[in-house]
Amino acid sequence: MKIAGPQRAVFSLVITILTVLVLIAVVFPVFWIITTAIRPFPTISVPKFELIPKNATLEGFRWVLFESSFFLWLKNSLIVSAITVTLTLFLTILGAYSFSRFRFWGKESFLYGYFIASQFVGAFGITALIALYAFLARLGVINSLIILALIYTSGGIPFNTWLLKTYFDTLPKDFDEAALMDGASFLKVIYYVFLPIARPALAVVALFSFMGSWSEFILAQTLLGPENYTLPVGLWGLVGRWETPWNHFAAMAILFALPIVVFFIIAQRYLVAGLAQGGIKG
Amino acid sequence: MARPISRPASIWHTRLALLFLIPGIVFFLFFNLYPIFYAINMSFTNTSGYNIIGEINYTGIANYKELLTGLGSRFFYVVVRTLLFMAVSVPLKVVAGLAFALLLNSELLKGKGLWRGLAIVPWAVPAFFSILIWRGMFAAGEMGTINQLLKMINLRGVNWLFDTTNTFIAYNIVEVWLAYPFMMTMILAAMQSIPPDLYESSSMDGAGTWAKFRHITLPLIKKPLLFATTLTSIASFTMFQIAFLMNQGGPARTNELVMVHGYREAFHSAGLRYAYAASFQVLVSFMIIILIILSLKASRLTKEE
Amino acid sequence: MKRALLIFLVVVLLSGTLFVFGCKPKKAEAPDVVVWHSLTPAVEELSKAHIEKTFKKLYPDITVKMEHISDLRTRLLAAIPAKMGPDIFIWAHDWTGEFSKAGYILPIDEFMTPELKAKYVDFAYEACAYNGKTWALPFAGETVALFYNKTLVKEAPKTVPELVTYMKANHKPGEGKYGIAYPIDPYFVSAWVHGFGGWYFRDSDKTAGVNTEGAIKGLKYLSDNFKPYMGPDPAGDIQRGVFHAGMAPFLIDGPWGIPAVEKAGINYGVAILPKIPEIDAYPKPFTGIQVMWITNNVKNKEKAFKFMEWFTTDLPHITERATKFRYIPVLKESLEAEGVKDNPIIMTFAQQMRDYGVLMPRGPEMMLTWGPFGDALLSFWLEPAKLEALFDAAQKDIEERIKKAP
Repeated sequence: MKIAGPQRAVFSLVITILTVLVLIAVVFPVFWIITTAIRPFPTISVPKFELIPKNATLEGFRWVLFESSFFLWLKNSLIVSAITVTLTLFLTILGAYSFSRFRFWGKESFLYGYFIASQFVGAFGITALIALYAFLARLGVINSLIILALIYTSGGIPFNTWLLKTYFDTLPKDFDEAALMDGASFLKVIYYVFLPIARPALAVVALFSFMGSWSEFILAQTLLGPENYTLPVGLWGLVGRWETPWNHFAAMAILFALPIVVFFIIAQRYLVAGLAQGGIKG
Repeated sequence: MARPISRPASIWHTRLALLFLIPGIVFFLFFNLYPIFYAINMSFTNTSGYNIIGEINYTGIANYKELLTGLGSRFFYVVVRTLLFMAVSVPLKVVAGLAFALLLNSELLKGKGLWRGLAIVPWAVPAFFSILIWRGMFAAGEMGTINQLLKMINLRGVNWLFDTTNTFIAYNIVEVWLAYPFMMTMILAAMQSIPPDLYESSSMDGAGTWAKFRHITLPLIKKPLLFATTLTSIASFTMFQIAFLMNQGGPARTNELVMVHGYREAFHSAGLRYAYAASFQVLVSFMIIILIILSLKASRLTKEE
Repeated sequence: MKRALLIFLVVVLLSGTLFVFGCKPKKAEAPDVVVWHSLTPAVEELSKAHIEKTFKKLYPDITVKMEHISDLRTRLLAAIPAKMGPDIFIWAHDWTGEFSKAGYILPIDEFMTPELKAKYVDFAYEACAYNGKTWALPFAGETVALFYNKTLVKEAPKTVPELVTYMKANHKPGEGKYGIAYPIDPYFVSAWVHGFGGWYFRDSDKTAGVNTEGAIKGLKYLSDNFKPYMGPDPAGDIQRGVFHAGMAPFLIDGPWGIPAVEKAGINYGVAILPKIPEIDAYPKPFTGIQVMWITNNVKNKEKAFKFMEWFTTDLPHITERATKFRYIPVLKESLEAEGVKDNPIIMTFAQQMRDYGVLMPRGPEMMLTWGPFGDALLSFWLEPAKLEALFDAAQKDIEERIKKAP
């Protein structure tokens, strides 16, 4: 009972329209951010609903691009995120492979430990922050983008390893066993067999570690000096004690979010590719 | 030199596994576990902003005692409120994530790439910013966009953020909006790894859409789905930003969740009492651990198939 | 195979470690004076320009760096004990008690002269003193006053009943018109508590007084006279939005709110808070003074002080900050300067502070007072009948917190 022909086209239209409607609702707050960004005065709520405000202006964007330190922050953010993503992928692939394919003594407790660790790291707030600060100050590595990236990587390792392991688990064991039987080494198997098959999962891990490092600001603002501020720190700095320039803030937030959307659309291709075109059916 | 793979746990495998794991573990220990142990240790002392450069004394479990007795019913109220938030938001997030994934994975959908890109947007905008925007949209009277939209369809405006129940509803809306892209991505990625031949052969067997979902999709995405659900439950439990930025767990603390409560107690009102704050964090972490163990047990995620 | 793997991983680990320890940031020539602040970028630019123009010529041997820090408090609390803090930092004066008790800031009495002291208005200098020592130098003041929309009301009311008449006339919630925009927050409502003789926390006898007769009366007065004419959500941003949209003729706000009001295109004026004829007294809002402190991480205290002295007394610098960004000067000379003394907005705020302002307490106990007071205030806004009970509980809570504080 495969749907075909004109019937299929109708279904397809219905589904597409449904998707578009749902997405309009979902993306609405983002439209609203744009509305806020082009409003000529810095207010977060207005009495009349206007998708395009009266006297709309790009002043907010002009301010972000030409008067704020946006590009410096962007550069810093890109450095941190690039290091974080690369390192995370490298370290988690090895870890996830062991968890998924090896049986070894203490594996269960390891897994538990990893999982638990991955979840309460964030719960320690300022106390851990003061400890970390003192610790890094002693090593003399405060205010370093590389160190920040290492901290992000390390914080995400348990989670990302876990994530990748759950995907590796779903891959049929025959693939790599066959390769190993043929005498390939583990590293070769990971490189030639796992990486191509697991591309969707790797894209997810890359996405997660990118998102994490791209939007974290509590650690960043504690450890970094102004010349090393990342975007979220700069953005958060616009929030005043009593007053916030909402239009500038919104404009910067939009420019901030753009790379993530672009990154996702790129990662997306791999997500879609997946098994179907991976060419490992045989 | 073929090696038997299905050999039971051997020393060789343990060593190799350790080798693969060590880099990650070292990193993790170095940057994350040290501060945590420091905080745990601190929770048994009288460390504060006033003596952190001076002399610090061990005070045993005094901080914990104060935490549990001093806060009394308040702490209980906060935990119950948090569990309620979990109970409401988690199912909503799972259903939303699954629905989006199914919709965006449908072979009937045109222009998938674009729609998927758009669907991820709530995740792409920095959370603290979109929460502040939501707060503006939830403004009371005719100031809020949501109320303006409600008026267009002839509904009365709601005082969203200065009313206990409405605030709770608003938190859930924002939480689902923020978290469904995560669920959706996890599920989509899992769906991508289902070989299409499975569907093709079942189509030939005459299976309908629901049957395909029930018997092929669901079993195959079960593990990632459970994993994502566990994570998102913990995220609900430790949710801080939404409550804090929208109205500080208000109005007047009636929607205070665990993390908001801890933050306000420790840093807003208790005066640089780091040790006290640390004891609160240890307690919350303890609750998180229990939560994780329970959900891992329930979902059997660590069991080998 | 095994050996290759082992070597590979050792190399990875080693290079990682080298990476970590080898990449210490290059120590550039550290400036003599590093200043941490949370001023807005435009205000920072102005200060930097004046440092280039004047300070460098006066003191060619002192190098200065201003650094914007986005969460100043957390950053200072982490950095100062780790000896990575700045030489100077800038914030409102109420941190003095906490930071001096912790030993994070240093007194500056050895540099103070009667001539320097005489340059600042009295209450601003008083804000810098605590426990018999001088801890800071002041450069601007803040408080709240009454903004009015000139297109909706001709002139500002002089008394609360007058104000109520105006608010009543304009309050039509169904049509999107409100009597007043008023952010309900402990700082913003302090005028009424003080006006009726109540207080939050007093440095003089170290007691909290949030349930004293005056405080209760003040809060009741606030709720009776303002709440009926306000929008339903008392949060600051939302209330301000009402005024910016021209939907309310009045707004209670501080000088920091001026740029937004101007950008929204409101033709506005500012008046001091109206008199309370019932008790023949004026409301007295909290005054905050923007000050500079020297931390115990200071490299050269004398140089740091020189910069601080220049920053708080350089007339063109202070005056330009006042005329451009509405920072209310507390330098006597600047209050007499062209562009300041003839600016009604600045002078109104200056008068509000001078005649009817109450300095925020400096004791660390005040930090323990804001939270419980704010909670009680919002609960009271929800359930007006519980006023006394709520503030009795808040008073107990505050006393308990003060007792337990280290």
